[in-house]
Amino acid sequence: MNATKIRIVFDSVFYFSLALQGKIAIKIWELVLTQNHIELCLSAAHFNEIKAKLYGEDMRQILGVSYDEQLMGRICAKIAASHTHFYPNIKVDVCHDRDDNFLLELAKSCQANFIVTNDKQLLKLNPFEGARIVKIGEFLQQAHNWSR
Amino acid sequence: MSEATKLKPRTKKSDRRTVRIVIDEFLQSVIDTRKSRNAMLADADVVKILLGEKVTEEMRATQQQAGRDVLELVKQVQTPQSFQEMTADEQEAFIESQFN
Repeated sequence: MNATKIRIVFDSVFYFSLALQGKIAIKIWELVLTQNHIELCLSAAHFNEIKAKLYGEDMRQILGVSYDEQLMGRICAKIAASHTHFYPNIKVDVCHDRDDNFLLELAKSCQANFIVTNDKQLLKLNPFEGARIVKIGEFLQQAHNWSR
Repeated sequence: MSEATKLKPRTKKSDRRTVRIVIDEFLQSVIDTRKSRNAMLADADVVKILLGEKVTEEMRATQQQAGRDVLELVKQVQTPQSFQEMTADEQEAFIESQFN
């Protein structure tokens, strides 16, 4: 196994899927946890976006009365603790959806190897600053290959 | 002689000297504190470099444990039955539809 670190940036929708026990997200998370050479990357802007997803109206609508804000808070805290934090001091303005530029700023700052997203606008930018931008399903295949 | 020139200085020469000594001592203590703080920071950097690999390994173990905790916590989320019964692709399509 190559000892070089592989840095990964998941978009916030991935964590939304993970919190809902989405089958692909759970599988990816389990595979990533077994790989010592994988480093998950996070910035403050990115973490705010994840929190917005987990505390947001969409999540509340899907879970209905069983939505547990305290539980979501604990999940957010553990997500933060499971990542390496970066502090991007660079501005990127290449994504059509300007709200997604913070993800690219993080990727550039941490020299990410992968940006994992299903966002069409972001996927159009592949590759970006040395990072491959791949769909969540495609990344699952990649994670399987690492675990072999 | 005007009234102003008749006024005595507010402090005696010896008092002014004492004040100067006190100020000098204070400034020296500030310099010493900074020197010692910089030395401490330099020491910390050396220790960090020497233990770099170990620190990284410890951090990694903490991150992995937090990752396992995430898995345990998301299992407590009461996801609707209809979502659980979807195929993996259907779930992804459903989630995408929420944001696009």
